Amino acid sequence: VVDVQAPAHEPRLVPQGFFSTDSLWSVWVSQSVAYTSAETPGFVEDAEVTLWKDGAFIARFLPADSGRYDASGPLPDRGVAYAIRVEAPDRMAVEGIDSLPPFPHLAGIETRFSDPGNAAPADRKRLEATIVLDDPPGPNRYGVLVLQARLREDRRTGTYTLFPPALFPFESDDVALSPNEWAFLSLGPTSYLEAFFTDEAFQGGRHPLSLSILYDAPPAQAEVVVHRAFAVVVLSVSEAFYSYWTTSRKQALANDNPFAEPLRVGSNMSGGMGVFAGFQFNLFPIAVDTLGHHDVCGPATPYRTLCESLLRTPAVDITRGLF
Amino acid sequence: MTRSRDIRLVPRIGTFALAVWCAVGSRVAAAQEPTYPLHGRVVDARSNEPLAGATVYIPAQRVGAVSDSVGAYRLDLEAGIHLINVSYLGFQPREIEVELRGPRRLDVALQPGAIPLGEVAVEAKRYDERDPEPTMQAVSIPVAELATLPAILGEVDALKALQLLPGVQSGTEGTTGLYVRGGGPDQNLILLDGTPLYNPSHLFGFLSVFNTDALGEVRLVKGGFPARYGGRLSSVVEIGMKEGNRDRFEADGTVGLVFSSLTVQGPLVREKASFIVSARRTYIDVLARPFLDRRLPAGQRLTSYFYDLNTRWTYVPSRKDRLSLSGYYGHDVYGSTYEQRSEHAGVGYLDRNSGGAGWGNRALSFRWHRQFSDRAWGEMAVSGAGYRFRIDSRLTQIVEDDPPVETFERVSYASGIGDVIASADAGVAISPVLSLRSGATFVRHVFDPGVSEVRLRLADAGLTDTVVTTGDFSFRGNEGLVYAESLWDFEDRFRFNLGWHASAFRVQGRTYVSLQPRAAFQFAPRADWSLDGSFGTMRQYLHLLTHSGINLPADLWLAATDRIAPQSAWQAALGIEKRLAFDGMTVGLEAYYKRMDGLIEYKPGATFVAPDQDWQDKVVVGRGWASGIEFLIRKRRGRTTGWLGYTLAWSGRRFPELNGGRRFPYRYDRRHDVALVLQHALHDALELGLVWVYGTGQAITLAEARFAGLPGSIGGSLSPVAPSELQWFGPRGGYRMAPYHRLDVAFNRHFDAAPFSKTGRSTLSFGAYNLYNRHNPFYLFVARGPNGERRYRQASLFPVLPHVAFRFHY
Repeated sequence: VVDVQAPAHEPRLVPQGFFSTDSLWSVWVSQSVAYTSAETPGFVEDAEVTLWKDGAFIARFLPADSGRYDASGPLPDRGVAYAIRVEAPDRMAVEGIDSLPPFPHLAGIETRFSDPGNAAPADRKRLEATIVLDDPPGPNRYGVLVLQARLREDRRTGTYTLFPPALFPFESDDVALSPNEWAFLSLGPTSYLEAFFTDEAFQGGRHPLSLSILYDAPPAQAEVVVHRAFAVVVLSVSEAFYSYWTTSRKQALANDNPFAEPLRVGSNMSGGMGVFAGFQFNLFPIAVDTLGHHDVCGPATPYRTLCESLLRTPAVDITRGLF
Repeated sequence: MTRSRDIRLVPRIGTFALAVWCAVGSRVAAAQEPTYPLHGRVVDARSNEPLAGATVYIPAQRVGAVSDSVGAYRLDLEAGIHLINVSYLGFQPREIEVELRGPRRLDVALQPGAIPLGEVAVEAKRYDERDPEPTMQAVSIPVAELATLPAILGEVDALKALQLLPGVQSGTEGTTGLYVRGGGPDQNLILLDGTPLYNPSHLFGFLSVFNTDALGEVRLVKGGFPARYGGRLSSVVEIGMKEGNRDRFEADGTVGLVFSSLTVQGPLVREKASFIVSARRTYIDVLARPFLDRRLPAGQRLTSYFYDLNTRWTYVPSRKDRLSLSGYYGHDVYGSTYEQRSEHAGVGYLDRNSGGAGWGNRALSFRWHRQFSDRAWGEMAVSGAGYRFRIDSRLTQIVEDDPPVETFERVSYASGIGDVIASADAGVAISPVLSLRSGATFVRHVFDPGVSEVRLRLADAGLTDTVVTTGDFSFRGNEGLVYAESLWDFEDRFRFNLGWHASAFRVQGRTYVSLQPRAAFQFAPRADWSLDGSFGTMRQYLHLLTHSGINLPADLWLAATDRIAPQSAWQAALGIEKRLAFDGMTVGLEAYYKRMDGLIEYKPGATFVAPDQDWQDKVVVGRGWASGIEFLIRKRRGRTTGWLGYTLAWSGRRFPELNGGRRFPYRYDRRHDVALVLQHALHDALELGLVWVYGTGQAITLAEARFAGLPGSIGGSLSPVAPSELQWFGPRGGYRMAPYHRLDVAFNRHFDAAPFSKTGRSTLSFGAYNLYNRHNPFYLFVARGPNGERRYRQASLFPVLPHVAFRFHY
């Protein structure tokens, strides 16, 4: 066994930023290191980051946190190309351009309880949800489907506790969910934490996408009713977002697997590393309680407070579950 | 109305074409002087075994023929007296005078003798000692010649010898995979007595499954495929087993450091029936165990061996009929077991873990060859073949309580393919100018793309033999082919082979059909010059899914499906050859271009160790091409013989989903490939063999940089797979491993005696593989340095490797 010379590498700027209709402009800037270097890739504090709209300068990003740069420019519009340019001393400037994808249109949702199976514990519930997605004409669209869960305990004393959102696994055998390619993201062949899809499989029409939520519902107590709220979150993402997201996830999971094929992380930056990409999201709240009720947060829902809090979830909370 | 007229026209056009075909052949024949067929068989005088590839040559007329797989030859000669030379490497040539007044049969028996130094080292096509095919892309290596080549682990390997030819490349260090003209190892049709073998390698590819002692002929066709061949894109390797001695019993054996082999042959019914049985077994695991036991943890034991068995039984009930039954069975086993005993709270625990991999081929064929007349023959065959690969891991815990409680868990992964084949072929010589050949084959494939099984016996949980099986379950495919060939021979100046190969494959409700034209010509304006050319299209209904990084035999044999189309290719080649006056030297130059479609590769990031995914979801489809120039100079006479082969080649791939859709080099895109083979007779009983090879390093993909992962991973993402650090890979195939080169040397000392026998013969073979201890790359891996930094390290397989083997013959 002998050492061999590794491929040469000049450090490059690596910006990573995602923007949506209701979020601030934020970009993280780090710097690559040679693969064989002992260094840890670090953030760049002296970068100059500028924002451009249809080729015209509109804002300058300011350092906000370790490696993070924020800009208070106008919120992004649909159909407009936004670009960032990142420069730093002694390093080659890089640029990336993207625009917001169309808003994900969800035509409806239905929920029902079903048999959780003979082997399931007595308090195990299975809630089936079917959301209807549209495939408008035009180029392919890309999406990410996640399920967020919140738990609220209502006590008869009038107080309640709201737990922060968490990703919740769901099952689906829908072939539109990037066949089984993403099974490695899941707890089983048809169980997902994040499901990626393109609307190619929708074939230009409406696509009912069924998912199944298995959860434990502790028996109702005299003092406490537990409300569990789920939010089916559908992100519409740009192609650059989709490429970066899926390849980076896949590479992370294949890390140290000697049987995994080499995988280059997708990028829309001129240097080949990093991403600047847009996304939008929509969500459907579903609320259940320990009394066995379920509802879709419609106008007559008894869970209005909970549902409204879910609907008001800011983008940063939604994406925090992902990033 | 129009449509039905078209349909009626089709048979008419076909009938007309056939009539013209035959008429032209007959008319050309009619324009010649009256000729008569001289035909017969060339056999080994000791065993009466046919000699395939023997040369029957008439120097005065510069015409000749090469015997076929059953030793048969045929020449069409004018009436008169002819002086005929019959020769075969390793046998004493004969000169026979024949008076021809009509059709005549002449069987020739050759006596074995010391390998005449004037004979050829590589029997490529020669104008005056012609291969049956009009192309110099068909190459035969007489098995007798293999014995003088340097060995690896004491064994001279038939497939490794083919790797020394121009246009044929090896894979990584020591492997027997053939990469012919930019194609993959799956694109070679490897036939053992006409039956395909899928993975012809032992010991992770260090040796092929072919036991040289049992072989009679090795032939490679790397282009200009006659229409009879189908189902692969790049080459055909025909390996023929010996038939066995029909006169007396013989035994050949090899005793080496790593393995031994024994071959026994003899008559079952004198002159009528014979058999040959050959077996090999490695014992490196047994020999190395005392040394390994000292280095391995207590309780651990390694297993590593292979064995194989070749056999052929031949029955010749008449001079016209020949029946044979051939079989092969081989298996590789590699694994590790670990056993540990412990005690907790007064209770004994026995943990026994084992894991390993195994693979093997099996083949069985029955063949009936009938010579209807001196002009017509026919052959029917039924055969079966299979290949299976398996990885297995078992965990057992026994709680030595009263009663004992056993918990057992087994995880296994298996993949394989099996075929049942029926074929019929026939040929007829219409005239001295025109010969026709036609045939049909049906293949029933059964594919097991990859199944994972988990078997649990959990005593505590009260579960008994819970079996969970996931993966791609087996499916079947039917493949059929028909072909027709016409071989035209105009006074040996101009010969060509025209043919059509039609095939169909039905799988999962979908049928693929292909019509493949084949053409090859040879033009010899002068006795010492010849020009060859060929064009052909090929279709392959099988795929081999190979990991681009590791070299384990984890390859998955797969089929075209309703989603994944078959592979196809076309190839054109043009070559020229010149015979020099000096010591039978020849110089040849050949250029080729090959285009391939429907190739598959793993998707980026995909892994075969994910059996819950359909393999079709793990692959991408693309195209490839290869081009090159092959140069071969060889010397066939004198005390020193050998050849120098050089190939300048390019081989690329383009897949929409790989490398950003840009073209990238094939892993075995080897710009320069050189093989120098020299054999020198130091004296009558001592030979020296030298082989030096050089090849451009493999094109591989390496990570070049690292960068911080998604921003949320810093702040604590909810996602369990948000990466904190990512790798940036360079272009696919953008890094070249170090060039491969090595020098092998071997001495063969022959003795006219063998142990315990006065009539036997023996050979002591000794030498060294990789004489100057070159650290050739086997694979690269990532290791951590003292400061935690990553390092690329190159693992090499073989240092200088001396070998000694003793071969005997009774």
